[in-house]
Amino acid sequence: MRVVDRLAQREAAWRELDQHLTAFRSERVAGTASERVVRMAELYRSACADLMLAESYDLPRETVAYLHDLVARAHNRLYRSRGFRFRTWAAEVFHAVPRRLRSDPTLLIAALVFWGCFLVSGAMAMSRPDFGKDLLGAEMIDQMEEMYSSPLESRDRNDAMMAGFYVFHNAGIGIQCFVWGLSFGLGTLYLLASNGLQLGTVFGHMYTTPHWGRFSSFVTAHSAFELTAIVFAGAAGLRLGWGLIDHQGQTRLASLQREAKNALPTIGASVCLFVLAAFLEGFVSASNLPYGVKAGIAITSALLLVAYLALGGRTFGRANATRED
Amino acid sequence: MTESVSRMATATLASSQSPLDTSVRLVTPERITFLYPLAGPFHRACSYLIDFAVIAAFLIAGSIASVAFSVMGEWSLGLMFVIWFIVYFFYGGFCEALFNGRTVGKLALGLRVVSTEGVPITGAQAVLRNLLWAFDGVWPFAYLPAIVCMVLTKRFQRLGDLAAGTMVIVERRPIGAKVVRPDNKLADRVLPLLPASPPAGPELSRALSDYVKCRKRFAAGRTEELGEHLARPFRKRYDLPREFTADAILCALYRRIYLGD
Repeated sequence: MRVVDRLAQREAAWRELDQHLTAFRSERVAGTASERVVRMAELYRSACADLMLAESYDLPRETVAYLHDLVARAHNRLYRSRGFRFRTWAAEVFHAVPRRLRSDPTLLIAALVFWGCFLVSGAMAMSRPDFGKDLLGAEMIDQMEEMYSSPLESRDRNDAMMAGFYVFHNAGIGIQCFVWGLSFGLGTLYLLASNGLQLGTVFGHMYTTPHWGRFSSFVTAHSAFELTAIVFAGAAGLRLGWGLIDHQGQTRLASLQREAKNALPTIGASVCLFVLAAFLEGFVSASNLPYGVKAGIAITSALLLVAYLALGGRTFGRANATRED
Repeated sequence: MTESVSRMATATLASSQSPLDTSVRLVTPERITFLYPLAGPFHRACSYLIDFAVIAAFLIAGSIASVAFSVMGEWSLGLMFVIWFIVYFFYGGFCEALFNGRTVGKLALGLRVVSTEGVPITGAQAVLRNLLWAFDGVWPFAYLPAIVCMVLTKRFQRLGDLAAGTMVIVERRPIGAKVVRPDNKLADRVLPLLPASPPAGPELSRALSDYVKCRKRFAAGRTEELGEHLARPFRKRYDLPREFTADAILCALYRRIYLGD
């Protein structure tokens, strides 16, 4: 059979597939008539077969290039990304993340770096009055003192705006913490340490001032969620960096891919915690609720976090069964 | 003699088998191997500029809307920050997960993100590669990590692509599959002297089709010089007189094989 004849025979099918693909603009399969999808798949398979046989058909090079492009386009329309499924993400966050974090030394390292810096700088700021001004600059310390010199109730309040701002700012820091794990974890360590130092200094310094009561009343409620969220983000970042360092016999690239996949749900959990903390910070911390309520919220959230880390993802039925054995 | 022709053509095929090219070879579930052209840094920079404009438009629109709503209550300013956060970090991830690997900029330029196995990306891959943009496109280094990484990798992947196992491809809309008809008056006179089905394997056929595609770009003397190598064995074999140029012989062969003249 001559090439022209064969082309004349097949070209109609290719053209039809091309038309279907162009009409398929909406990028969504749902809502397309089912006969059309079936017809498209049929045409796609026949175009695939033509491409496979292109060599033995002696098709000229332009025709083969045409077929490559046509098949590639059809392939991308028929095989689609699965998008977001809320259930799988929720299962990851509540099931896989706590299990992974329990067995993950990076969580411990992140917590040690962050809390270590926090406690050391807090102690320094408490014992040496100038420490805060040296580390953070005099303006910032003055600003902090000024902020808490008046009672919380008398402040001009905009809870929703502040909650939004805290989401933007704090969760942004968390994501940076994760992303800088790509610098072999060094960027993450730096961010954890610098944030720990800053917060610790502010806490320690405020303790030496007469405004401690108001300050602690403001920071208590959301502290558990926020300070845990940044440690989670740090753990995710360190996991990414550790994947680059210890490749476990894989190529460094495959190792990075594996750890990135593992760390992504953790940063998701961290962002969730940051959002929770931001809403507490905006609506509860700045309110004039009695200190007891705020402390109660802090204790409850801390207990929730402990329960999440200790119990999340455990299957109790199976655990009992093994104990009976 | 035929052997010498086909051996010559095989050599050209061997050199073009794995071309030094910016495309990637994929095998589909249908067991078909096809080529994807990869998107280079310039394509991707353009699409990023468009996306950047879209993000900026979103941010500005969000700000204006929240200021407008703020007459109803100041809560809307908080909404603005939340919108900023979502758009800034998750615009690309959401778009690519929902629209099968495309953001607005990629749609405009006909690019698409696929995983390195050629299958569509998952939501997690989309989010991951876009979160890591915060490192790739980090301001103090002015996108250097992304650019250096793209230049160094075979598939033009930036760090986010490497971590998520994705690549960006160009999706071309093909123009047509017509077979060209070479115009050479002398070829009409060569045709009756050729056998009904000349002994031509796939390599020779492809060499002929390549020659016909490119012959318009060369001067007459140059086409002779190039075509003579392929035409000489045929000239000897079918006793073609010298008056037929190499170009005429090759065009005639092409028409016999492809068009059946």
